[in-house]
Amino acid sequence: MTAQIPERLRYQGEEYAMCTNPLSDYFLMGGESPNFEMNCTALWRGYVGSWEIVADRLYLIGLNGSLEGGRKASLETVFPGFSRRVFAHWFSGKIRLPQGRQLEYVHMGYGSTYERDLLLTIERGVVTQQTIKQNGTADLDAPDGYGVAAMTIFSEKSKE
Amino acid sequence: MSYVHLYLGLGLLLSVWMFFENKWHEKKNDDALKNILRSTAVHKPHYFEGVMSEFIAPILFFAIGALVWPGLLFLKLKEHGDLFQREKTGWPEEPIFEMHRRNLIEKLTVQEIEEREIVRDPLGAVPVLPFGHLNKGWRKFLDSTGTNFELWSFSAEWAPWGGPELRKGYVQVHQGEIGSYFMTVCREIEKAPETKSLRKKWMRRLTA
Repeated sequence: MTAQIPERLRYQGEEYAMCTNPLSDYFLMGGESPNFEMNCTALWRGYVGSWEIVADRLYLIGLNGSLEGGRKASLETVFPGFSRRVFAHWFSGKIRLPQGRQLEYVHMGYGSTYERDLLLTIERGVVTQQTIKQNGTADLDAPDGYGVAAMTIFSEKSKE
Repeated sequence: MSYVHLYLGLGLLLSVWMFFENKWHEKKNDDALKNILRSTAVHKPHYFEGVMSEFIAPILFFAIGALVWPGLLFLKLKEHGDLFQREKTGWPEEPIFEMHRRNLIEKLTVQEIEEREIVRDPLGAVPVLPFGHLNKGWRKFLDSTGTNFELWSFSAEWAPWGGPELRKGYVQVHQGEIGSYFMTVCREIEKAPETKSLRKKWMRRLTA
């Protein structure tokens, strides 16, 4: 499995790469999933969600992906009637926001490690705790911020 | 023409063909995927990065490809082989979540459950209904619940591939048998960090 393109989170005025997929829980809990198309090994889930935390609440504010047949997916596709903002009340768990330089690159899922992890504990969509986990100090020339080193983009031909 | 020229010529032809085939498919798949990748970019590419990807990288690819083309050919064939194999064998199956009587907490009526599960949001980003955005799933669950079924809340831990997980929700019970369930919480349980002493203990056991 390839390292995965992260979700995006706007939190306290900063943009973060978010190594947690709260929408996967929504689909697991019975939320209807459109058939996302997987075009790329770095994006098995087939979409990238943009999230925001406002007043300690987690919101999904955008969705970028494509559906089988080539149609573009948006927030409205998954949450009809909610095209601008969706409260993620279904999500409980930890959100991981890696920070700093890369300690170790792992070409699988969100396996790479970084100098720090900003961890947000969420209970039914509400932030209850924020902690910073120190993982170590990276070399000065190590890449700064989350990245995916390589991926295979599937052509229509190879999927047929 | 010497064998060396033939080898390099074939390599050059193959790498040029692979490069433009890739470009062609990239263009064909352009919109959706590129939008996704653009949306995840954290910085604008530098001028040098543009020159690198547009000119230097293709030239390097052709030059190296001409030398190591048997390897490229192998990778290309392997790509097709892997796709074929995956279609043929499919993915291994994940363990299935099972619930037991010890996981049941409290017997409740539909009304009691719906009262406690109304979701509200100050920004109006959720329908004011039981289970909010998951209301449709809840309705489906109720449709599958017979009139003589009991509904119980549950809490259960289990261990799928990704690590231990806590699941909570509501489950149908019919004549003592546990049936379908509706999940409201699905959370990873943190594993205790492996300490040096614990690691040493395991190493001792392994080497004993």
